[in-house]
Amino acid sequence: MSAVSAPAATEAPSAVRRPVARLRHELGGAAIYPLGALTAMNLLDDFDQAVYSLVGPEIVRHFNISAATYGLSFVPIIVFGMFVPVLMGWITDRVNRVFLSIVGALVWLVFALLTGVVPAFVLLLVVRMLAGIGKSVSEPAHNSLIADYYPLHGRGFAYAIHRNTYAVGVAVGTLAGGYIVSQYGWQRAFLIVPLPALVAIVMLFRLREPRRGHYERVADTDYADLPEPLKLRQSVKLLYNSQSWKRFAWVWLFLAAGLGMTAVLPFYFDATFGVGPFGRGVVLSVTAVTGVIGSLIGGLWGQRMLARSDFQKVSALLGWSILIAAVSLVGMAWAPNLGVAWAAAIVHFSLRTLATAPVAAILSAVVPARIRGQAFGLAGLYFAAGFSLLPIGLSYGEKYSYRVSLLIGVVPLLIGAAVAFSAGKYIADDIKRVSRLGAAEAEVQRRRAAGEKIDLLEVLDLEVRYGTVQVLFGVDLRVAEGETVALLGTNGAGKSTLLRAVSGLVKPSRGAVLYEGRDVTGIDAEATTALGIVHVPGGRGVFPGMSVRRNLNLGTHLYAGDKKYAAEAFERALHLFPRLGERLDTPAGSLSGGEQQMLCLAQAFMAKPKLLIIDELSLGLAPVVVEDLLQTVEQINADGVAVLLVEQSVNIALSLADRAYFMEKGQVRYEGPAADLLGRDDILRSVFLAGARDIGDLSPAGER
Amino acid sequence: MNAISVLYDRVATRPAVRWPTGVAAFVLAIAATRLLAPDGLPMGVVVLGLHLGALNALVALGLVVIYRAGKYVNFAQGGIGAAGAVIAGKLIANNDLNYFLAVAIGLAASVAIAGAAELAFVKRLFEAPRLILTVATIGMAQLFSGFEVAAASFWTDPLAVRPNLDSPISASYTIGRTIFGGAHIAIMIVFPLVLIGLTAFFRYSRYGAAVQAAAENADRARLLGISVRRVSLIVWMIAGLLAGITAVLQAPIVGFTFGAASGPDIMLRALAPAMLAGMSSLSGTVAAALALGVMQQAFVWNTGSSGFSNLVLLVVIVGALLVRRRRATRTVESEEASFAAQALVRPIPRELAGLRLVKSTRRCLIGLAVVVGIIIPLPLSVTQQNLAALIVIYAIAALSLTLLSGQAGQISFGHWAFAGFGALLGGHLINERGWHYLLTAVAVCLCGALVAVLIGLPALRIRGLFLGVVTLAFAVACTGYVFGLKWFQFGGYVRRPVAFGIDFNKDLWFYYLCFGMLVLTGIVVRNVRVSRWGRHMLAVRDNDRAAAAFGVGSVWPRLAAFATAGFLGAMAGYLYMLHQTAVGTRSFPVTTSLLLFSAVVIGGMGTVTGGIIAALYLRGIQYFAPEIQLVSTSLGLLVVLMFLPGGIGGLLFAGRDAALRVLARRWGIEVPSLTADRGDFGGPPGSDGAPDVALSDVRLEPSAPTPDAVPG
Repeated sequence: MSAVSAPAATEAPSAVRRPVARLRHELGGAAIYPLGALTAMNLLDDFDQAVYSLVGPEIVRHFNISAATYGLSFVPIIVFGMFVPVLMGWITDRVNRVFLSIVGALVWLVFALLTGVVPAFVLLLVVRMLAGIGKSVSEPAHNSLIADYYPLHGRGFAYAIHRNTYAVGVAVGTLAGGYIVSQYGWQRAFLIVPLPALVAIVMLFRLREPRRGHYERVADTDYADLPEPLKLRQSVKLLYNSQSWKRFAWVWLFLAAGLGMTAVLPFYFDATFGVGPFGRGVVLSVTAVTGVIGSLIGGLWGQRMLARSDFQKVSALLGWSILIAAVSLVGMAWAPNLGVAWAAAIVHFSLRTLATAPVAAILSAVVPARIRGQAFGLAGLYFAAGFSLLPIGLSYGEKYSYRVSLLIGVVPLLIGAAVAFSAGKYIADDIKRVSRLGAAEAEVQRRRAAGEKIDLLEVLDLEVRYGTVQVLFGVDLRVAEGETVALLGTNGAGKSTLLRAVSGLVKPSRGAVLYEGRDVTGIDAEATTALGIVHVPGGRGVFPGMSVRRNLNLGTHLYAGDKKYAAEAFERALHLFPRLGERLDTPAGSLSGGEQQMLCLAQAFMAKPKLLIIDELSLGLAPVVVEDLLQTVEQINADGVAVLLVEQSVNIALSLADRAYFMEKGQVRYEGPAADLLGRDDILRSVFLAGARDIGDLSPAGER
Repeated sequence: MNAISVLYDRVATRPAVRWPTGVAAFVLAIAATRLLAPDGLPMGVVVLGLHLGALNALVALGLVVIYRAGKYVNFAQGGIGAAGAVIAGKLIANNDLNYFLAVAIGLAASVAIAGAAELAFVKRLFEAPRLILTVATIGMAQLFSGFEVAAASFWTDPLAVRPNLDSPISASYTIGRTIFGGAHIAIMIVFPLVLIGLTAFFRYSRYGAAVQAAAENADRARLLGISVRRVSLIVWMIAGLLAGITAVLQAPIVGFTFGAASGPDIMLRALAPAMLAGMSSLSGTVAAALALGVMQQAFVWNTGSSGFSNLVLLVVIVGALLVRRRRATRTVESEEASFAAQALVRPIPRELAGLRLVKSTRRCLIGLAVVVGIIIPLPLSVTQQNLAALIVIYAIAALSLTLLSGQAGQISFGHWAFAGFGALLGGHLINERGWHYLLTAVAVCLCGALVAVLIGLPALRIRGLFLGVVTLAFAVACTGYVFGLKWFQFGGYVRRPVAFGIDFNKDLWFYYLCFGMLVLTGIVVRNVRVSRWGRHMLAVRDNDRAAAAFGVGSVWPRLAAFATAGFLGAMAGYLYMLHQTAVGTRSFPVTTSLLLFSAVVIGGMGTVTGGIIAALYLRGIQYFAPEIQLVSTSLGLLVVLMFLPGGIGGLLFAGRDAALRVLARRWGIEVPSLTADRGDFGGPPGSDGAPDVALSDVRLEPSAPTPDAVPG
């Protein structure tokens, strides 16, 4: 997708004459209207926010409160910002986003109108908080929509325009708002300011919901028949598989912290240079206009670099602009007069806004399209956390000087710059991962639509580290529906680690695990079990201090609400393993090894597996017992359960499996039909002679 | 008692016999106590003991429930309920709320606090060694006592109107000469109900089985769909409820204790029965708690004070631990992990240590530190000089703890008690026996070493968090009983000596005395680390079985560490006594021991630098911001445990390593030990995904320090 870069230079002359065509071109050739509608809505929201922070000093006087208390009125927004966006992001990924934006807009409008009429400061807090909810409802939806309306090489500019409303809102809002406030007083201003939003809401009604991941998908399929979405907690975990998402979310946080600190600017100009509301409006709006320019430039540059896959350059651009913004903040704090402060503010605003649009574009590109709303929702949480520095800034400003508040803001910006510099090297990898995931998902859907067998489990390029030691190096593996696959390998090859990564006991550091065509990388083990991945660990798998009966009951822990199923499964387990029935009340710890394995398998069967993962079934057991156990596994497999079997014993594995994988030193060395493996002497010998080989062989695992 | 515990362990596998055995054990214990008590034992005292035992049992049950689920001791158990009780009491006293409604709100608050604590701290330390988690609960205990004050300050008159939790039951009855009021009746009503509820939960609820499953094999439990984290949350909320009930029930009997980190002696009374029951059996815990409650009352009745029973508790705990069966499972091994395993400071790599630049920089830095130490008091006022001396004394104590807990890996939650020995015995010898200062100094230090060895003897078998329990019990026994003996009493002030023409009554000179001692201590601790014996100590700490395989026994390194630490601790105490000139038992509270331990963790366990930072942190905050001392140490401790395993000192050493790395790169010296584990976690190891570091290149175990490479 990044290859579709636009030949900007050749078209430039004609584009000057046709600004609309030029705009479309910069937006990657997609329609302008959706962006216009979303931007208009966002603009009015930011307009209202700008007026609200402009009149801070007036509100403080009106309600006779301290500036710090006024700063606290941002806190409810922040507190709600802590969990509402995450929830909203989760919802965004599941419902119609246009509808969600309209609901958010209406909620915001109602409460923004109420701002001017509340009689007490506490009620003002409530009203602003509810207006903030409206905003956090629509924010992830807007961002997610833009990602599906515009391709990656137009997204930076689209986000720049959409995000720019903050600057324009500040510019127009403070200027016009400053005028309105000075004419009619701050309270009546809030009855006037939000009204134009009605127009924007009408515009939103005309939008059509785009397909999710429209520009990332490979095959032309729909998400309609995807399996049940993951729960909130697990869904959030998926985001953290993206290294660059993680880092840019932190950049987001530190940018917001800088923003929170510069929100003291009206107070700074009021207290330090004695500028009135209209004067503040002029100063801030001019500053904000330059911010618009910075943002557009950032968006354009950013998307060009993204289109050319110059990810290191993007992160350098971000790092430098944040760094310079930090330096100019120092200038602002030390300014001897209004002129210098203003100049520094202009530099600061334009560079800080320059950074925001590329960050948004990157955030949209480095996570799978399916969880993009979530990505923006959680990023909103980071934003809110950073913004929560504002009350601290205001209280320090009141106590010492607003110059101190501004200086405090330098610290988060410096950290943010450092993070931005370091994050670039992860982007390429994450974008590649997203496209591989998308392709794999699309393939599963295609096959399902065509009525073919799907790959139940698909492991892509998986890497696992324990602390600083890497154990798996780019492992690929697939298990089809109803298939039995054997996983063989030398001691310490990473077989068990691979299984643990699939079932969620360890978190992979790179790569992806797909189950039934959906991303389950790094989610909790208890969640994978609920999805049907049931893992029977090697060695001790029972709870030794509990009776056999209680052990068996734990097998249906997830289905405890369904008494009928629990009883049924219990009966079936005893039918499969009659010996367990004779020992129901003995502690599991005093069973023989074979009986313990039976108990372990019985528990697994009771947990409704679709994919049964068995680690070292034969370990330390008599051949007769193993024979028995294997028959049961075959029986389960005949019922349609796919089996992934790790075995030291090649004969056992190959007698059972359709296909086999052979692993050595954290990599897959062989993949193919199980029968063919028997002919591969070179590989089999290494299994039998593994001990001897490992002692003699000290060559690095990386050699291929 | 130990026999009972062993018997208990034997039969505990059969659920059907648990209750009868508990009752039998209890009856036996009562009978034994009645026979042993010289003046006989009136029935009233026995019943009173049962009531107090029931209160202890409630705390103990909370401990056992959490231990069963996670294999760590929750030192915050006593403190969780305090804030809830204060809220309930204030609602009744200030707002005239109905008793039951107020108590319900208070209990809800306790449950909420416990749940929040689990989410904020326990969850984050879920994968950490159990010892770390146990230390974190100490931080949480200190935090909770801060909550208690915060809860009261919701009302405009925090302490003017005492919170009131008088029992709504007005009936009373008398047995013998003992009167039992509504509060006692309430205990006897609520206690059985709690027992029934708890038993029902564990036996019949879905999560009852899940709790046990999660404790026995967490990974396997997760693979069956049991959310181990949710289990932990539920368990903490149950513990919060138990703690809240305890606090509400005991408030009318013992009152509220504001701001005190939920008395370690109260904690101990719950720990002892829990230990007797092997931290696993609920019924055994209850029986033991009731029996110990009666025993305690018997001592009070016979001796007039509860001090001696603290000593008995120490004996009981040590005994219970020594006879505890060792289960050869991995969970038990992990609970015995040593603290220092978390944060190892690497010595300067051999490749670089010999360089002239590195050598001279090290010497310069150490010289600079000494010079600063000498110059710093000169411009200070007398009061500030006095404080500086105090910081130096604390630094000596912190260093001795660093030696014991950091380098030898032996946890000590009662280290300030060694200082108590030095101070109180020293004062007695000087004032009452007229011994010379120098002779006394030598005597008390040797005595401290001897006592430490005595404590170290059980440590040969007890390790990890349970050694922490033993040392805590030791400290409680010291303040509760031992320091009350006549050998630790002295009247009036101890005058500082005048020697070699120097008047140590001048604070400046006294500072120099202390500073000299600190320098000596620093040299001792550092030399221990690089000596042959010190290497044995580290080896035994990291893996005593492997050490044994190489012919390094664990007995002498451990005992020698205890002896040295006791020696230095007593020296710190002796200086502390001369510094304060008047000290008493109350100068050596158990809470100071816990604070000292927290501070050493914050400063960075295991290095001289870390120990000195610890003292600066502890006393510095006490001086500059006394009101936030408890909160800052507790939060500091928790933050360090969660985010900075090496403490503040670890940060400094990380900086040193970064500087050395730059140096090595610039001079083109290959230093594997500095770069081998630098693989950025989670990042792609190379541009094309090819691994940079092969498995065979990376050592899993940090190497033991070599004699010529020393930590800075």
